[in-house]
Amino acid sequence: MIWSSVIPTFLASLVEFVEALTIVMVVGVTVNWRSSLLGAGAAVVVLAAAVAALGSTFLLLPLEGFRLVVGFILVLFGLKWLKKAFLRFAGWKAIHDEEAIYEEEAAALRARGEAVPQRLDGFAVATSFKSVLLEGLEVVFIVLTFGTSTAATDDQKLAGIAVASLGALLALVVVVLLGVALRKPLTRVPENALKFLVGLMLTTFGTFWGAEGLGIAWPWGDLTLLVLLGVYGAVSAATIGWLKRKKAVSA
Amino acid sequence: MTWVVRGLKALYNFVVGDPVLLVGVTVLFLAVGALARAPGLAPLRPFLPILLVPGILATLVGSLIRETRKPKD
Repeated sequence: MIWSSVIPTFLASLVEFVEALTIVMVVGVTVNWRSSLLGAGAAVVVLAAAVAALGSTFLLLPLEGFRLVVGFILVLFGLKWLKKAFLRFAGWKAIHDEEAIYEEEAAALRARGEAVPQRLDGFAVATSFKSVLLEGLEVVFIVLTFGTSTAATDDQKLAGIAVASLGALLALVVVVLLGVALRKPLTRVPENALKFLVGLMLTTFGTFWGAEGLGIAWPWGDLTLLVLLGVYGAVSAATIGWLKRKKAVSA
Repeated sequence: MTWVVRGLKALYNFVVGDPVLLVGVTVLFLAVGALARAPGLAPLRPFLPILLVPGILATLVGSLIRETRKPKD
């Protein structure tokens, strides 16, 4: 009885937590962990406050509209990052703005083996915040739906939600452990490649959530994320090649 | 410049900072949203991702073309 609620909640929550972890990790590695974790932590606080205030009326929130807004902004963020990474990969001159100066200083500090100051970055805080808030909302929906689906009385509903929460909590522990294990290997990936990866991930998740918010049902559910990642990755490789040829011709 | 315009400009630069990306993605989302909600076009709904994904890629390529045509500093 208990496992029939814990296992589906665990599996469904695991997918959502992995999606949030992906964004938090790429932002943490490419920008800085302070900003990424601050955004994630703020989202958890907002979510906890919303759950405490709304209780089971949470299920009435317009999740589709929220997905649409987050998806739209993530696509814009993702394309902005992809564009920068493409231009750097292909050898086009980088724009010498404040961000570029900071990046150059950070790279020089890293080359000397010194620590890079962990300044707060608005993009990193906002991206982690939105992703964790959206995925967290989905986990709350999962817990409430699985927890109350077979309950007839209020007491049964409360017990069902407590049991379903256990599944979500187990999923969170697994995903946090996964994040800790993956943190070091990710830091060995070259910086521009990681930024390219961030752009790819943000565009993929943004497209997925944005389309769901528009009312589109993806044919393979969450597995479509892998298909989208493959399509965007393949087209990105071709575009970088085209930009390199264009650069060679114009030189 | 009023504080509202300054705020909007800061938000624009923070989120995207590129007019081609902003206009392209906005028009695309509006078009796909309209197609997804039009009752007469219900049979087309499974094919909307085919419009959305290439549309996003075309927007990115458009922005790159603009970037590579900019005069050198």
